Amino acid sequence: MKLPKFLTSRSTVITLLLAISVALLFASSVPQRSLGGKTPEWVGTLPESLQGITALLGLDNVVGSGWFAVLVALFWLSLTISTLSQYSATRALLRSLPSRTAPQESIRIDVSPDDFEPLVQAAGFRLAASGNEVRRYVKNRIGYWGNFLLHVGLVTAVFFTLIYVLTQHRVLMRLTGQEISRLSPGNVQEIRGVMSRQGKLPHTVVLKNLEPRFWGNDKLEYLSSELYFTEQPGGEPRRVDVALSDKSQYGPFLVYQANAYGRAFDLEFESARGETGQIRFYLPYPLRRDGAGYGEMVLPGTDFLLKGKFYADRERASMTLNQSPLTLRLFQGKALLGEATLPPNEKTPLGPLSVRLVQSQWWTDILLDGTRGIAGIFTGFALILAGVLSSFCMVPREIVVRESNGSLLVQHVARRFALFYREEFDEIIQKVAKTEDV
Amino acid sequence: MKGSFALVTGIHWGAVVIYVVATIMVAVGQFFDKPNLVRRGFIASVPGLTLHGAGLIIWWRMVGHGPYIDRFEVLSSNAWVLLLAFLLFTIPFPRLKSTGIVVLPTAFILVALGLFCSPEMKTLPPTFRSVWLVLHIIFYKIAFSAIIIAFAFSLFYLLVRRGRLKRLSNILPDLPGIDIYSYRFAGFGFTFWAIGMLAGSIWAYQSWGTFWNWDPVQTWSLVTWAVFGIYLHLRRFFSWQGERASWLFVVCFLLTLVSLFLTPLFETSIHAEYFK
Repeated sequence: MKLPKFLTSRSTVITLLLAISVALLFASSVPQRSLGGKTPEWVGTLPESLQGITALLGLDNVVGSGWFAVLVALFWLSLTISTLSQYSATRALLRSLPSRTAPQESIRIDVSPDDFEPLVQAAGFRLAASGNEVRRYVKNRIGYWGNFLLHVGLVTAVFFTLIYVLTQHRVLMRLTGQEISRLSPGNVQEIRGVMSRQGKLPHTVVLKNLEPRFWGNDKLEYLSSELYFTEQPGGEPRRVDVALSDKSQYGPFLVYQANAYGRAFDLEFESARGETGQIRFYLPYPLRRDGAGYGEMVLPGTDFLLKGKFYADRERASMTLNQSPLTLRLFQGKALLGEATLPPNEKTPLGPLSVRLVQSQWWTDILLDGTRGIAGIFTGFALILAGVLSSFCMVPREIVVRESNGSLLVQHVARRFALFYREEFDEIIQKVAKTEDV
Repeated sequence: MKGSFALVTGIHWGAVVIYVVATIMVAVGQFFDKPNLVRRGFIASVPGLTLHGAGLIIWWRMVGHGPYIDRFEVLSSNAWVLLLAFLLFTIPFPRLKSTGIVVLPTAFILVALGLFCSPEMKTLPPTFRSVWLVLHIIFYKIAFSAIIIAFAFSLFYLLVRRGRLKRLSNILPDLPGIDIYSYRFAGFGFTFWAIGMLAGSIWAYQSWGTFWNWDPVQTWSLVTWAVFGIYLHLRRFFSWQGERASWLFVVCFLLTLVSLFLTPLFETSIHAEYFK
């Protein structure tokens, strides 16, 4: 069997579609590698030999695996061949001439072909083919291209989905004000497609400034970040400004401002035995001037749960940050061990510990997206919709005219909704009747 | 002119009055077979539409954003798009005028409901600034309009089948005709719904770097679209028509209402700011 025939055969297409559907079903029901590339827990519970097979088959990252890319590529090839044959079929259909034999539903009218033509043309029908005493008039020729457009859209969408799968590279990073963050796979959350394994990350990034602005009703109006990236060690920093709904380009990456932001509090703890430790406590920014930003975390190396809150404004009169103190509560299980409001740089008792607020800074999440193909996927869907619109909303109708014994046999054909368009044909016939009366 | 609440609500009530008058003219004309009165009723709705549009523009200037956040502005603009789409659709499809007795009351009920919801000047979240958002909303409003027209035809089918609406027999298509009009406009609704989802995905990608995140509004929108797809598929390939197709469309219509007006009330949605 020739390859094109094999690729477009019903059994091949159904098999490919089934395989892709099963893969996607598996990927959506079994936990996959998330942003950060972390291996899902279920893989760790498998025997070592099965873990190897899982990694080899990419079962923890189905959409990013090589075999899934091959399946999509084969499906795309099949669609492309099918689209080419759609093109030939549509062209042939447009030029085709119906047979001389008139079907039973044809209506006989006593008018010459030349007198009839202006009437059908006035109704929007144009001559598409003629010969052998048969004329074929078509209205909304574009409707015949609907299926072809739909196929082109599918080909485009599948092709760019393949590009997306292959080049996927998304990096989510949490930045704290003024701090130089090294970007390496170990300290950012990253997800990569098959072909972006070598995708290079910027060397460092600094969040120089974060600016939230608020409406009078405390809702967020605007959130922007001033970032400085360096490409390599010792390189010149390059400023990149981003805001919500206002992304920027940096090298191969689109840089997005995420919704999440707040204050990062650097705390120094000391136990009764003199052991010290430092943590960074991220709290989201309050949503209202009279509401606090809350957060909690387990103190590393202990079973203590630390809960914290802060207001935007000490007086709770504004959403603008204004000398707002941090209040902490320390729990062990459900037991409250202590509570403290921290003045800056002063050691304060908190249950069995003492704590000092070293500094606080803005934090926010920034997304880098180096994936290619999204615009192509959207274009593909737009073409699919254009195809649907042209075949559904611009239904092609035909009037076939056959000369027969000095009169005409006319037939109305609509690919779909024939009943719906019957009236336009009846109107033409009524006009013919009036002409005959005159 | 910057406008005021009193001016905008006054204009909207003015539009409601004109729509009510137009509805009465169309209904009386249709039930008592007075084509001239029907025609005048439709003509009367045009100044109402103009006044209503002016009210929306003044409101837009007052609040500084399009009519897509506050309940009042969402309902009011839905009514405006519905009536405009309906009047435009009647040009190529004159038989559509028979649905005027459903569309016109729906329009004034939507505006009145909006006014009863106490208009508020809502602020715009930072992610709601994109031309794709505007397209996303416009296409959903057009889809909603086509779905209401299809719903009107489905209702007509069910009523005519039971021997009702005899007085409208002159202006309504025959039963198969009513059925096919319903099918046709359901298809328009389905297509514009899809375009609305696509525009929404592009907006999401521009704003958040992700084109789909399964929030309740998105999920319900997809479910509704899929059910419309099933309806069209059953009609096209399994010859569903008449009574059972009409009942299935009623289910589709209810799903549309849930999708557009109920799911945005869920707190977890990224669409949570809309229609609260």
